[in-house]
Amino acid sequence: MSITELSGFAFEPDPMTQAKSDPGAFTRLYLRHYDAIFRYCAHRLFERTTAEDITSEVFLKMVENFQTFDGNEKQFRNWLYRIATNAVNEHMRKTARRSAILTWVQWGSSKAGVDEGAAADESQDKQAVIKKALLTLKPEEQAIVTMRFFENLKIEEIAEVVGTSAGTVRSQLSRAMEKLRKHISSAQIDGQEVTL
Amino acid sequence: MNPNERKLEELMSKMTFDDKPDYRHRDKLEQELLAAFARRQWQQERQSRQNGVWRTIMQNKPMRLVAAAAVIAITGLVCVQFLTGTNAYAQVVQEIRNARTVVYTLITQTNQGNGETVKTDMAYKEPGHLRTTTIDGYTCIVDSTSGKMISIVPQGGYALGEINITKQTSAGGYLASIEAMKNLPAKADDKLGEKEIDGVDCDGYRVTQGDLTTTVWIDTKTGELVQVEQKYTSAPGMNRIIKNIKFDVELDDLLFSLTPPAGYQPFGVELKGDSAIQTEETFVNWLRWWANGNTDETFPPMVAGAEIAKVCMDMAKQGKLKASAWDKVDPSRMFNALLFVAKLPASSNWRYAGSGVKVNTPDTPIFWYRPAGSQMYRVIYADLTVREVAEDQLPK
Repeated sequence: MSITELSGFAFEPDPMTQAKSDPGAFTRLYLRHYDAIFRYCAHRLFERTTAEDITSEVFLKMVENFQTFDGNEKQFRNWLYRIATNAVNEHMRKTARRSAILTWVQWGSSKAGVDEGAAADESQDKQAVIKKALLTLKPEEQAIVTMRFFENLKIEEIAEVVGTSAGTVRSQLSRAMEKLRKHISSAQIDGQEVTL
Repeated sequence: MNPNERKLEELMSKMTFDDKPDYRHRDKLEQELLAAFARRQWQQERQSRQNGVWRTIMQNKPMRLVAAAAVIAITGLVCVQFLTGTNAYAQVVQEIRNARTVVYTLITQTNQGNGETVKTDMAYKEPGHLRTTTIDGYTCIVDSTSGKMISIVPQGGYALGEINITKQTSAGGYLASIEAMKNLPAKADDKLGEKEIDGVDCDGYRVTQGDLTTTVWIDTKTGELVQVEQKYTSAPGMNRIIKNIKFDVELDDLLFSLTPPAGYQPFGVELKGDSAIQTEETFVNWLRWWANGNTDETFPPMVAGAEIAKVCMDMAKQGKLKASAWDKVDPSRMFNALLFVAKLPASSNWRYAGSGVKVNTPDTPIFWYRPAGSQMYRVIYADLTVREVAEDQLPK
C-alpha cells in the first residue's frame, strides 16, 4: 500500500508513472512480466540458459529506456516483447548459435527416444521435427508463430509488437505455417515420412 | 482451415518446453535491475516535474497529513534497523561471518487485528552501509561510518538525518544486528523437525536469547539458509520472517549514496537523533500525542519498527486519525521518542502492554523498563503517569 492510497486522496499516480520513480512499483512491474518474457525467449530458443541470458538483456535494455517510455501497461508488455524479439532475432542470426540449437534439438530427440516409451518417442520425435522446422523459418516469421501459438497473443497485439499492420501479420503467419507444413511433411523419422 | 492445418496447430498447442522460470535467476536479475534503476533514476533531471508533485502535496491540507504519515514511515524504517534481530541473527549461518554484502527480505506482521504484513528489502554492505526499501518504495539509507542517513519517499521527497550512533559507538544499536550475524553461536538450543518452505525441505533450529526466540530453517540438501523467524516475548503476535537471504551479492555503491536523487525535494525537517531528548518524557509525550490523535483514543499496538508506519497507514485508511493532531506533528520529537525505545538495551527488559488500551484507563500499566544501573523499574500507566516499581510488583 502506498501512502497515496491511504485515504483515497486525489493524488494517485498511475502504476507506470509510479514505476518510473518508485523502486517498489518498478519491482512489481518487473515481477509481473518476468515469467512471460522468459517463456517467450525459451519458446524461441529452446534452451534455458540462453533464454535467461536474453531475458536479462531485455530487462536491462528496458531500464535504460524506461524513462522515455510513454504508454500503459499493455503497451509496456508489447514493448518488452518487441525488445525480446529483436534480441532473440539478433541472437538467432548468429549462424554458429543457430546450428548449435539445431544440434541440440536433434540430440534432444534422439535422447528422448532412448529413455521413453514408444508413444512418447513418437510425440518427442514430432516435437523435435516441429522445433527444427521452426528454426528453418526466418527469425521474424518464427517470432510471429511463437507469439501466436505459444504466447497466445492476438494478431493485433503481434502487429503492435512487430510494428506492422494486422493484415501483414496474417499474411506472414499464413506463409510461415505453410513453410512449416512443407518442412514437417518432408521430414522423416526412422525412415518414415512424418504425418500430421 | 483444412485438416492438415488444424492438425499442425493442434500439435503445436501440445508442444512442451523447458520453460518453467527459475526464480533464482529472476531474483538475481531483480537486484541487477534495481541497481541499474537507481543509476538511471539518479542521472535523470526531473526537477520541474517533481517540484510540481511536491507543491501539490504541501499545498493540499489532506496531503499534509499524508506527508506527516510519511514521516512516521521514515521513522519506523529507521527504528526497524535498531530492532531487527538485535542478537537475533546470531545463530544463523557461519558463512555470513566473511560476507562483504548481505541482502534479504524482512517480513513483519503486526498483532493488530488483521493487520497486513510489512515487507522490506534490506541490503548491507561493509563497512557499515545499510539500505532498506519497502514494497511501496520508501527507502532509508544509513551510513554507520558517519552516523548519517537519508530517507527517500517515492512521491519525490527526502529527509536527511543524523542518528548519532556510529558503528564504533553502537552497543545495542542497529548495526549490532549485522555484527551479531557475524558472531554466530556454535550450537542451537533445539533441533526441530523438518518443514517445507517454498518447496524446499528444511531442518529447523531454535535459539532463545532473552526476549527473542529465533528459528532458523536450513535447506536439508544444500545446507543453505532459507528462512529465519523471530518472535519477541515483549510483543506477542508480532512476528518477523527473514528470507531471500543472499551473501556477497554485487551491490553498487550508488545504492548506498546519501545524495538525494535529482529532483527530489527536502521535507523541510532534518531528523536528528538527539540523545538529550531521547528520554522517557519525550516517549510519554509521544504516547499522549498518539492516543489523542486517533478516534479510538487508544495507544499504539506496538512502539517499535516499521510496523508503526503500517498501523498508522491502516488507521488513516480507516479514517481513524484526527487531522487536528496530525497537522501538528513534530517529526523530530517523534523520531527521538521512537529512538528512546529502540535504543533501550535488552538488559532493560522493557515490555509494552498498551495495545488497544484506552488513554486514562485507571491503574493500567502500558510500558515498563529498568533504567541502566537501577534495581527498580519505571512503569508508565495509561493515564500517562510514571511510577517506580520493584521487579516482583511488575504486571505478569
